[in-house]
Amino acid sequence: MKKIQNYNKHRKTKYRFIISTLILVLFSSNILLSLDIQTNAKIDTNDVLIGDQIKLSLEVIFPKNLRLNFPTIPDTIGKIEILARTPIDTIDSNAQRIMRQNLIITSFDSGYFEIPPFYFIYEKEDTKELYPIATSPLMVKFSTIPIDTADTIRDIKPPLDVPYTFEEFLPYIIGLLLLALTIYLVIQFLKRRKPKHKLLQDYDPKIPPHIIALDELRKLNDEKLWQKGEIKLYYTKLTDIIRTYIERRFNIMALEMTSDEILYELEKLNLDNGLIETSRKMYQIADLVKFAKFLPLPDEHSFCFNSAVEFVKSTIPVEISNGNKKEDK
Amino acid sequence: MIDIKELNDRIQSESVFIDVLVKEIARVIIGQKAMIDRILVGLLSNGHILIEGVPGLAKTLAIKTLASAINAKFSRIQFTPDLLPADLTGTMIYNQRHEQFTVRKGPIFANLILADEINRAPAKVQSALLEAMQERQVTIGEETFKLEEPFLVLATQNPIEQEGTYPLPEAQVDRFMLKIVITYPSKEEERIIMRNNLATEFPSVNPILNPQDILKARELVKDVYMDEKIENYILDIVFSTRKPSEFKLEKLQQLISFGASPRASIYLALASKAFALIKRRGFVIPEDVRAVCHDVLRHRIGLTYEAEAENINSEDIINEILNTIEVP
Repeated sequence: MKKIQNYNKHRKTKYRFIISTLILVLFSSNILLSLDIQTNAKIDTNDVLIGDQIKLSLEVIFPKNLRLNFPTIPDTIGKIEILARTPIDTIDSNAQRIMRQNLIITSFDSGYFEIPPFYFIYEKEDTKELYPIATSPLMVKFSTIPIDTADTIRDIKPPLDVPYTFEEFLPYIIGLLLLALTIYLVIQFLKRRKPKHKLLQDYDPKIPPHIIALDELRKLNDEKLWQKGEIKLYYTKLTDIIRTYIERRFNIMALEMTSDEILYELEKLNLDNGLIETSRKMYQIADLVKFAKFLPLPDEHSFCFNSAVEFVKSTIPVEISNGNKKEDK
Repeated sequence: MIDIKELNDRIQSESVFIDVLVKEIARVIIGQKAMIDRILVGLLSNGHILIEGVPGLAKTLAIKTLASAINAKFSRIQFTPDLLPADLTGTMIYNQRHEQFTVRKGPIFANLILADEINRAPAKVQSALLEAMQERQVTIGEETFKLEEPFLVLATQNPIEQEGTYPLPEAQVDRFMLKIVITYPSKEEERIIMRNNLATEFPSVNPILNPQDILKARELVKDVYMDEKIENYILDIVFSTRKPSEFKLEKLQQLISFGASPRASIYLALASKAFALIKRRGFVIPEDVRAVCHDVLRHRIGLTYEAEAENINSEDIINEILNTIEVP
């Protein structure tokens, strides 16, 4: 019997605790059972660093037939700034309507700040009177970065090294490919161009033309071409050396001129008549060899070679002793 | 193996007639040495000649004199807009007595033809002449007649008064071996011309050769030696009109619409040989090529609109080529 009495006593205590807990929960979450309106304001955290952004969510659930105004929230609430906000989202579900809005808030001051209650105004259906209903106030702590006064002052950190992407390299890759293509085309173009005359190819303008010509003549003599039977090649090289020398020495386009035209141009330079005549004979023999299969005698080979050497030596610019300027012969 | 020395000696001895012929022509034609040389080049190398020059520069007289000097038959045809091909080649005439058609040969049946102002006749007449020039034969009715050798056509064109003319198409101009441009004589030459014309007796030429001698001389031209170096020089010149950029002549690329045809290479080689013979040489030298180069190429290079706008003619193009291509 005593056991049953204890059991009943324990049961009563348990019921009391449940009822009192339910009443407490209902009042704390602003749930108004009589009107079925629920408001809610919540933040994702309440302890942040100064300047950090927090998401504040406002929500109200109310019967669909009820007229309710969502609160208009200004850009600043005390020291708290509203950085961004979403449009008010309205969702209808059976007899209920849910309205939501998310806000991004921050503060650039440190300390504890209160987010005050947000008031929703609704109209009672029977009396048409307006009543407010509010959310709970919220507290947020904005902390500053702790300064270690014992530590030394450090320099500003350098910019962070962001890893390179392919898009950043792409213009350089295209540029390099275009450069390679251009170089390739230039090389092909140069290859296809008719090569310059051999004697003009490696011409150093600092070396006087007569030095080059005499050097070329010496090399030609050393080759002993006519002695080997290469007579046509010998005379082709001999006349080419002299024509190249004339081109450089007198600025006459001798390589593009016939023998007669060269001699005509030389005559205009008032050179020694004897020199012109020996040159004429040399050109005649050379033309006969080059174009008429003529085979000169060894004496004629020597004559032509000596005439060429004589022509170059006789036309070397000479210096006038009583002046510093050079004068052409 | 060709013995050039022997060939040179032979040509020197057998070409004596050229000096005599030139001297004989020079008794009547004062100046115009270049024109006489080019006409001889055409005559000796079996090529036809187009002559351009203002009226009164002794074009007709030159060819008439040459015909007399070589004892050849000469015809002068004045081309007019109403000329018909039959007026040139000949036609079939109905003989009432014999009741049959007989052939009447036209003026083209001669050794030397002067086609005066060829661009004044319509295309069909020009074609008839050019066909005869190419084929060296004429068909009248159903019968084909060979033209007499030597057969040389000298066609003239007047550079002024272009209204109502029929300019020769490029393809037909290409059939002329040479195009000679003649200019006015010098003051001294014109003084002699004036005196000769005022004299009671105008100089005349004596026939010193006959057509058979010309045919022999043509054989002599074929014997003139041309070295490979000269052949390459000719090819370089002709190819540079087609692909100037390959011959350091990039600036001509935009000025030439079409280059010289293979006929240019053939005629340049042939004319160079003939010119060497006129100079009584048995071999060709670059001077010979350069001497006839303008006459062979000037009507074979097509100019672009840019060239015409810049007032650049084919002479300028050829000069540029000759001044750039290396002489062997």
